[in-house]
Amino acid sequence: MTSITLRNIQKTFSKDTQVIKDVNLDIASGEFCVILGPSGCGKSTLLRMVAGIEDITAGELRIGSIRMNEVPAARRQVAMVFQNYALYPHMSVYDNMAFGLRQAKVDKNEIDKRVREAAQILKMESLLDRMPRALSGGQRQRVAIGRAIVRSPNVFLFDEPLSNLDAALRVHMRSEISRLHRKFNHSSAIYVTHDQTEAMAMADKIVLLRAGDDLKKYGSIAQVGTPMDLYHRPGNRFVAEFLGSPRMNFLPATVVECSESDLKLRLTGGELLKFPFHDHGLNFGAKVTLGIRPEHMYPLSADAPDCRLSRPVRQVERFGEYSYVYMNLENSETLIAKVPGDCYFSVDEVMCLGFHPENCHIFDEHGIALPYTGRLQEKGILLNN
Amino acid sequence: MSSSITPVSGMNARGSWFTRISVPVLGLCWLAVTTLPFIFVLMTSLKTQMETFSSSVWALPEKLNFVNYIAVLQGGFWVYLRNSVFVLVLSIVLILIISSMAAYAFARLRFRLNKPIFALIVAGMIVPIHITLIPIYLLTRNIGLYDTPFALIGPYVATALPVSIFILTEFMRQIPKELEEAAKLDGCRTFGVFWKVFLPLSGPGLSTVAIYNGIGLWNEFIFAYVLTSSSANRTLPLAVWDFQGQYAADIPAILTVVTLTSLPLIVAYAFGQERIVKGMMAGALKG
Repeated sequence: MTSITLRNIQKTFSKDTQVIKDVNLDIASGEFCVILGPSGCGKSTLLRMVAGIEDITAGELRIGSIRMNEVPAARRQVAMVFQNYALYPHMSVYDNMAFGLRQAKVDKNEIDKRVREAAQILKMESLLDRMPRALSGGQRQRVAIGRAIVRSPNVFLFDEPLSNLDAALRVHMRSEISRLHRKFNHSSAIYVTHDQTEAMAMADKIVLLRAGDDLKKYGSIAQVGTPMDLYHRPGNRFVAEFLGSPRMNFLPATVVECSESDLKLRLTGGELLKFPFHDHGLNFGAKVTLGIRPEHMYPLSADAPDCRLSRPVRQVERFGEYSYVYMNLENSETLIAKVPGDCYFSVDEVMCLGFHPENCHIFDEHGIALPYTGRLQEKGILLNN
Repeated sequence: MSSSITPVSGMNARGSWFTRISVPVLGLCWLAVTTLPFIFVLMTSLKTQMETFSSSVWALPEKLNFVNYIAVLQGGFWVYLRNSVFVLVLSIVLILIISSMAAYAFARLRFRLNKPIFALIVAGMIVPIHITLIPIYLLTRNIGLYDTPFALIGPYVATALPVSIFILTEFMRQIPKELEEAAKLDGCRTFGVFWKVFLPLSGPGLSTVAIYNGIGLWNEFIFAYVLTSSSANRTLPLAVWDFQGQYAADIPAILTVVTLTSLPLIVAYAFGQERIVKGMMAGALKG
């Protein structure tokens, strides 16, 4: 059983190029941790630092209780699955899987046993004599995973392993990897992806990284938590915007009334909305942003008393089971509502929308979310799932 | 509309007509330039010396006469062939070992002065070998290798290294970095990565280097002429010397030696043409 600890990890490529800043992270034994983030946020670099193929500029990495900063990649007991598979083209599938064990001078019979076991688990016994060029993308990915499995590593590292596969195969391999991780649950796993669906579907824990100027200002990690935690309680606007498809709607608002337990906001469209927020720390006149996910809005009739927002419809996208309705906001942004497929709206028709206050997020002028204390539990959402 | 389109399409048609005709014509001209000398050499090698002087240059031999071939093969030809093969094989092996290791270092290892040293080695391609003849002659004589086949190996390897390193470095730069990283995670050290991953994957590049240098070294004359003197140590290109007197030359016999010397090259080129061209293209486009 092996935990992974990162303390104040930094990575700079040159004097002015900082790609990783102040990463502090604990990955428990057997945990499946997904590192998620936009392009250029340093997620692959972080993974490669754990693997030992990239130097750590500053900070400390521990696998188990051992400091790993100076330990070469081969002795870290980690196995990595690369985005482009990285199978040795001049070796058969069997030799690819056996290569690491041969390097470690493992007994020939033991190598054979382990390779055949892994091949059986991955259902690729018939492929062992083939060369990588004679395999499909999915088969190559399985061999790459098999190569990692045979070494019985303490840590599995996955660097966007599914991004080269087609959509259907990606879904299949996603569940396959989750199944394998449950089977080898003594090993921790770090999985890098830019695909939030993969992250939400597979992770025990998501680490969302940020890029650009915010990285320099606030550090690399935007938020760490369970998938549901990040989805329902984003700590800041970046997290709220990154997770969810279509992304969360953001409506500029001003505080017009505040008490210890309530907050009244006026939207730029003139609507007045009241929210049950504790410890919000806001004053009258403060500029805030109201965040609400498209799936948390529902259509209402024009005269409904709980209609909170109404805007003319600009565009409707129908997907059968549901539709996306697009409306214009005053700040030239778009408001998107996800409505049941049997709701019919036409362009330019005014649409009334309702939503529950407990599904709303309020971000201060720095983009930091107001505390969620008590709100979501009241609604019965289990945040630790 | 149509009037504005017609001249353009007409011009294109004229352009493609010109290309269709000119490219094969130029190709045939170049084929003639490169093939006619060889046809001349082959025809003359089948003539007697008398016939060479009495008939016109392009006249066909009166009959297929293999006298010159018999004379050459019964002379020192086999000794020269043995020396050539020995020098060639040893030189190529050394060139492949040194250039592949150097190429791996330049392509993959990060060290200070990587780029300047690589640039310096590549610049070695522009040094004319003739200005190195006297120093190399003196060096070879001083270390006691003069007039031995070993005298040729050092200069051959040294002059072939720049282009070989250049070709292989470009080749190895194209091998995905992830393979190197996967090998490191699998437990390979730097030499292991080179030996078990990069070298096997560089097969096409290595064969290009071997064939390209093989052709050059097989025909090499000037170092062989300067660094060997006795017929026991001469290589094939020097075999023509046996038929060159002070005042006269046995031209058909000399051209017989040329024909026999060229045969292995023609065979090698027939089999390795694609790789040679590929290797040269890699160097030209990626450099």
